Amino acid sequence: MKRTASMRAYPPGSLKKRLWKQRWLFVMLIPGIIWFLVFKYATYAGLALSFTNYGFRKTVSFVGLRNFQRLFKSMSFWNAFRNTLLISLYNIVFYFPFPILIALLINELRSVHTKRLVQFLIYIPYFFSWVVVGSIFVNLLSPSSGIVNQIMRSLGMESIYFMSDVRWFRKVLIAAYIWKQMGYGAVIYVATLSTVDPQLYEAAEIDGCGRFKQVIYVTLPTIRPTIMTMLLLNLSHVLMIFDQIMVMYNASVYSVSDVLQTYAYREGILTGNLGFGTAVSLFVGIISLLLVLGTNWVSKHFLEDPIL
Amino acid sequence: MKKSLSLLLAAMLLLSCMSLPAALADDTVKLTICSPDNTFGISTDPDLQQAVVSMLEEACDVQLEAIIPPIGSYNDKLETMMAGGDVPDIFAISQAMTRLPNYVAREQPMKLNDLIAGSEALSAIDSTYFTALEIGGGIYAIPYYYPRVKSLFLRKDLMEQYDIQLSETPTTEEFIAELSKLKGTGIIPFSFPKWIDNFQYFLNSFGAYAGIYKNADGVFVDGMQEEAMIDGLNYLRELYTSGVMDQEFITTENNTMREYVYTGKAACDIDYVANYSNYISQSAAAGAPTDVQPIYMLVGPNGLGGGLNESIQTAWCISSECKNPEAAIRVIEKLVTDPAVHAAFYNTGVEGAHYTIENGIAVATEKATNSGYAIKYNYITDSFIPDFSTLPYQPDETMKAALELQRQIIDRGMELRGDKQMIPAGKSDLYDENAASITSYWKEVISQIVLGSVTVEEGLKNYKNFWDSVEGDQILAELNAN
Amino acid sequence: MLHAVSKNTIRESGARKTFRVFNVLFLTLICVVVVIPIWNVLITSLAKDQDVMGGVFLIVPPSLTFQSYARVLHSGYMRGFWNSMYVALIGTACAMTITVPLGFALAQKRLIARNFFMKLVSLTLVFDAGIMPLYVLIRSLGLIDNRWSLILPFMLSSFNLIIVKNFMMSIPESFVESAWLDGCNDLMALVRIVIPMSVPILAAVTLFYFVSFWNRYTEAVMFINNSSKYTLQVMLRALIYQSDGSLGEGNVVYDNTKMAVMVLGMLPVMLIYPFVQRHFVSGLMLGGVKG
Repeated sequence: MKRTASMRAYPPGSLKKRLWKQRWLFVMLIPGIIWFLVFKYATYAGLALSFTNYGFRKTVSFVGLRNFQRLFKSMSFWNAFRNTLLISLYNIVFYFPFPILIALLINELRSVHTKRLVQFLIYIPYFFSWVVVGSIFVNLLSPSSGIVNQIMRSLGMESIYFMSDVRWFRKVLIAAYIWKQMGYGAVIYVATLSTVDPQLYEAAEIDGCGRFKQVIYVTLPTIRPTIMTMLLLNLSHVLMIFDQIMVMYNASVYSVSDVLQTYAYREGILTGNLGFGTAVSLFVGIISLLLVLGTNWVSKHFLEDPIL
Repeated sequence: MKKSLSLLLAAMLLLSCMSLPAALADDTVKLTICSPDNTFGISTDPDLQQAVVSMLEEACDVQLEAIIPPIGSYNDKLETMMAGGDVPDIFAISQAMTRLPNYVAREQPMKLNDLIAGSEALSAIDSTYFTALEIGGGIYAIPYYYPRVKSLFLRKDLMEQYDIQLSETPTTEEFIAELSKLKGTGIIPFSFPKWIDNFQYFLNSFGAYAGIYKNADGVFVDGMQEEAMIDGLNYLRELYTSGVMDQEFITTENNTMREYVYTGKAACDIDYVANYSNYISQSAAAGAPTDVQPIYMLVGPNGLGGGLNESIQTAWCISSECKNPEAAIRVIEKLVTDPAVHAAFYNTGVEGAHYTIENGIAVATEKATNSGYAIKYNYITDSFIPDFSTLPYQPDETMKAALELQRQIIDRGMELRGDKQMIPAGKSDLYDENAASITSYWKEVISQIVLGSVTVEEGLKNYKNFWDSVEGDQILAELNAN
Repeated sequence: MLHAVSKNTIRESGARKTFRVFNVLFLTLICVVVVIPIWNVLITSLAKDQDVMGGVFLIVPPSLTFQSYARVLHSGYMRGFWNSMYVALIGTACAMTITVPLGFALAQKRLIARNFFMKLVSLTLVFDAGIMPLYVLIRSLGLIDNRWSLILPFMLSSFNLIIVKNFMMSIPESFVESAWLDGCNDLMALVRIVIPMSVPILAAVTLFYFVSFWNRYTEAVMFINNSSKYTLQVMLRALIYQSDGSLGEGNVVYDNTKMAVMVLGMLPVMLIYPFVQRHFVSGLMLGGVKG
């Protein structure tokens, strides 16, 4: 059915004729495309700054690949790059499935009111700014007065200074991220789940599927495109993590938490060396592009769901 | 859906009516001035800020467009404006010793030597304060107030209660031994903030200096790799392992540290000598009133020591693009040397808007109080202005006494301050590019050593590896090449 | 929602019951973990100055006063509130008017040069030139110190656009085609058929946009010069920052005020949420016709 429908959508005839047929589509398309050209692509000219010493000295000069050479030679850069990849990986592995799980579990609740209440509650932390989340976690995890260490001690464990421990700090970052973002992340899945056809469940039930099987055979396939979309969108900006690190890290854990964006901020923006800072941005962009293209390719070839 | 849409449209229309263009037509000189929101009378209320701007306009006969970013984002905003080509005519800079060389290398501020010479009031200020910020014989910034020095503050009530015997300049050994008396009391002996630069206070006692500096022979060297640093770091580690220093210092903000001492949760902390009177008033407000004793420096094994010198913190610059530097310097002159303008801008705001005067004493208005404003008199001890007696309001007697003491404490702190150096920018590209990296790396190493994640030897070895990776020796060679 | 109260409920199996119990327990645990810090924030904001000094983690309310809220509400809060509302309402309205049609157009497989347009959009997902080039652009458009500088550059997000577009792609083309037969053009098909079928996702995206406009901080500081045009986030953040000035010459701001700042900053958006949430259940139509 789908095939024939799309056949009809491509009427034979000249380009001009097809354009005329799609004039309304273009009316809808053009404003957005113009916006992209003005507010995105025009600023991309700024990426060319990465080949200059803009901001470093009064007179701007073209420096070729010098900023990149400096990057690749710098120990701090590679450290930041490694941290960025690791934190992003943890983020995708531990944070990403969370909102899906939460949405599915909420969906299994019977009372509509409970559903809404739970959804609302876990959504609240999203509005805490990172400055505040940072200070909440410092208090929460304090070895002397924090509730987490108190519980650990009452269970006979040693208390841990999480915020200064290089073995723990990245885990703290992910925990804080999950805590703040899970409700917000679940919004889109909750919205998608509400569009799943109830008849499908009924049919599955008649076929003898239990709830668990219904989730596997009905729910998940229906929301799979959404999951893939969200995965790709997450990957596209997972490398740009900045605010959270900025307010949560401290000198003792730089080695495990300095990421590309904080590195660029410190060495590029704060010292006015914009050419260098932009070089980092460009680098992040290229890596993100590879991640996104990779995901899209996987999705297209193995799941037959092109996302972009 | 339809209903909410029409509501939305109505709201939009209403809101767009609210934005009216401001018409301006005047012949007076127009200048932009940029300074964070801890100036302009210290209030986040735009109306109150505007009252201070108007007063300044009147006093200087100029028209001012004030840009007052939140202090937490001030440097970002200034950098953005500089890079975007919108440098304000007059702008304040913070951490002047660190930032000014960078700005000068980028030719952002104007050379002010002649303008200062042309101003009687500015020339009257002790020239050493200007020369502290001199770069290649040029003066590019005018200090806003006294150089900043930090000392330790120790609660006197706890000293008595626990028999802590510390003079204003005790030895490093005495400091640990005496404060150890507080162990087991639940009181943090010594509260310290997460800002690693403050460790320099203790390093001074060992003749160590974190970062690149010019030694006694006039040669730039790297303090992290000098012998003295090892002793300094061992002491810092001991401070931590002995339990004297707050075990959770690395997550302690400055204001938390202060609150610990105000409330008596901690006995001692490190703070600006000019904040002395805050300890008196705030500990009273916290219900644990006490006097505090400054400890200006700790005397190390070789008799060395010195307070934490942060030099000129805030200074005023004029943009190199400024069309009317004469008018700009007039504004700065008023801000720095005119008692009424200085007090209003620095702290107290404008009569009628921020406060009213009752029997010679200023009382904050309700509107101002609500916006977080409180009258403070620190300007009396902080500024270069010797005499504020011309102002129509004065602090009450207790405050006067505290300020009198504060003045003495500041002088003594200045006397006993340690070293602080300005590294010239624009001399070595390699240094300018890597300065931020080097600073953040020594902070990392020192904090890891203190917290015990690495030993002193390991830490310094890591540092050496890092140093080589940024061609540190080449940097020193370039800096030392006359 | 309907299936949860499925009519032909046979007797519940044991496994199912266990799952339900586990599910409720698990979600309760999650809620507790989420609520404890929120509770802490509320308690702290309602405590007196003396009770919050020196960073304590409060669970039991030590005192109850609205003094911090009064303080924040009087510090020019309403002005910031209206500035934020202006930006967020107009911004969200503009954003939706431009995102939805664009998403719809891109969702049509027949669109000429669709691949090209998609690539054009997708690239912007990953490349971010940073704030400087944007500042220069805003400046050349003459929008510095204008509230539109906080609306125009953010009224389209490739992130939200792709969510909308992908959702619309899941709507069978036959629906649009049947609209043609009724004499509709594409625009009318969008308004009459596709939008009503996409209500849940559009509600979610509206929320995303609104929140992103409401919470924007950095750009508001960079693009706005006159402090009377500052949005709520800037004013509130400024209040918090005052105490962080290492010089200690700013005003003393205790944790209770900081937390009150936070509560008042997020309250307006939180109140919108229940209205949006209602629409998450109204998309059943799509399911109904799809099978």
